[in-house]
Amino acid sequence: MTELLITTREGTRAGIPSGSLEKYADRLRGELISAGHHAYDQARRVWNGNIDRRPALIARCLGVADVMASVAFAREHDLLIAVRSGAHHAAGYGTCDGGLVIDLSQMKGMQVDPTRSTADAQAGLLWGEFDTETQVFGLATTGGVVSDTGIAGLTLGGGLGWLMGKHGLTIDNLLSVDLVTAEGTFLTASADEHTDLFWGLRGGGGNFGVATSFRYRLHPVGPTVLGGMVVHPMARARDVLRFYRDFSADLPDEAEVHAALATSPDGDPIAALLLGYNGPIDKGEKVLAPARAFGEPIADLVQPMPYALRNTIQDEPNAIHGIQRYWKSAFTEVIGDDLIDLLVEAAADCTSPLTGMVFFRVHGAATRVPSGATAFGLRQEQWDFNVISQWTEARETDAQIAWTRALWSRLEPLISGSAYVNHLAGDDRPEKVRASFGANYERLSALKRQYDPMNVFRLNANIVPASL
Amino acid sequence: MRVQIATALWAAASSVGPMISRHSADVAGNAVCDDGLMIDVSPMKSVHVDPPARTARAEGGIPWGECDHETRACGQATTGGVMGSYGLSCDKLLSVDIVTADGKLLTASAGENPERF
Repeated sequence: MTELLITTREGTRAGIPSGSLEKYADRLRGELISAGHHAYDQARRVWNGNIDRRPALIARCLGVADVMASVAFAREHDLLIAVRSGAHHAAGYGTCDGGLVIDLSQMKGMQVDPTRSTADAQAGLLWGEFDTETQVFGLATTGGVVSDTGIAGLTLGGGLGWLMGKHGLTIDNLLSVDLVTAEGTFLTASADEHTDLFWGLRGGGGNFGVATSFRYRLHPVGPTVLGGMVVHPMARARDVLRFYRDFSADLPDEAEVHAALATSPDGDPIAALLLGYNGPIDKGEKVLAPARAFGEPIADLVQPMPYALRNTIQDEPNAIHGIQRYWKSAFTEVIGDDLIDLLVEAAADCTSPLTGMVFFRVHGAATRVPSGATAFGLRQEQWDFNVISQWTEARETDAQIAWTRALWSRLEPLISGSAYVNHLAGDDRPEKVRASFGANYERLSALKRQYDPMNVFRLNANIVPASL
Repeated sequence: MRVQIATALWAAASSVGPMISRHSADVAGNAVCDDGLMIDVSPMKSVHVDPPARTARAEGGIPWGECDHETRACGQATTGGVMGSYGLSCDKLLSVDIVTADGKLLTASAGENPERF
């Protein structure tokens, strides 16, 4: 009997008899894809083109039943598991070499209940799709800053986004999660059932199971909101970032202000302020006026626009699948002049026009939730700072990663030793991963021991099960 | 081009019902028309089973076989295609989400819009 060679959870190699494989495939409503299948090369790709892994099997799940069958099959054969939804994590957690990809990207069922202002959304949805369904009813919830980010990963890691000042993080609007556990059991975690798990799922990443569906609380938003970019030449980047630091430190909940050093579509290096207001347009005009009056911008693109459109203003090039990426990130509670000087200097010798350095301000409602109330432990007012290196040609890879690492080692002393869980890099040290869960790490580790003692779900910002 | 409209059914675990223009299960061919707009909900196939409540919610595009696949995994069963001892599908229906002729979404159940239900 022929066997399929696979990688186990611990990284060893083993064989699965073809009879066992056929039985598994028969249990699936969706397709089971392996090397040689016409869709294999497309199905194994993720958002980050620098990730080139070859899973033994990709299960394209169409429902909870397929996910349960897949977890059971993986347990039976001690298979390495990667869980894929939006496939947007820079570290490529949505795929693996030699293991099983539980692919939820086809699961896009969504139901909005406009009378109760809630939405049930399956894990394969992207934020742009989610926004389309909720905005029909003039509703929305906090969800990301790039529209093709998957809702599942973003939610489980906390969910920073354009509405966080007013409505909190995505997890602060989460009412329940449907989950297939490491044992293959289906359950719903909420404030009423499996409450310990519900606590861990709000910020603990993909550590506790395969989330198949989420119920969110929605809010009236837009459909027209104020938003857009104010663009300055890179020559003024130092002043723009100093202004940004002061202006963004004291914002009303309705305002969101981010900053980026990047390259314009015309190839000009720029320093941009990304502005948004979630409230009456005229009030937003007043609140955001100083950020538009500052200096002499080359362009002021701030205008009333559909809420769903504002969620796409950073899509170019951040939503494009297949671009090569290396992404480092950290939180910082201060933006010192020394940090600004360093970034301006680094921007001058950046060789890729796709690369960006971005600050997102975390404030307002997102910071008023006690740090122990959910697994998301770092609730202080701060900036999520990112160096997102992006390039297109494989031959540039070594040079781009080297540039990013050299910059990162210089700026690391100027920022905190923790990061937004969804922005942790694959090569971040375990201490940084732990620090990113803050004081909640020990409780999370105990919860991991309870729900996933074998660390079946390990391709993520991993929480190590507490030892007995 | 496929047009998707939010049509879904809320039903008892013993009943989730495909409807309108999805699979061509109507021998009269009412799901298609000449030169008009065919609203095709066949890609809308999600099912959400709530085992403790013994209910399931299914989108309008799902064939019975696939729906059974989901409910069986959660240890529930349903009336679909065959009447058996559970009665007709419509006897098990708890609510229906519909898009009305004026383009509004409404839910019809014993408690809301009971006439339409």
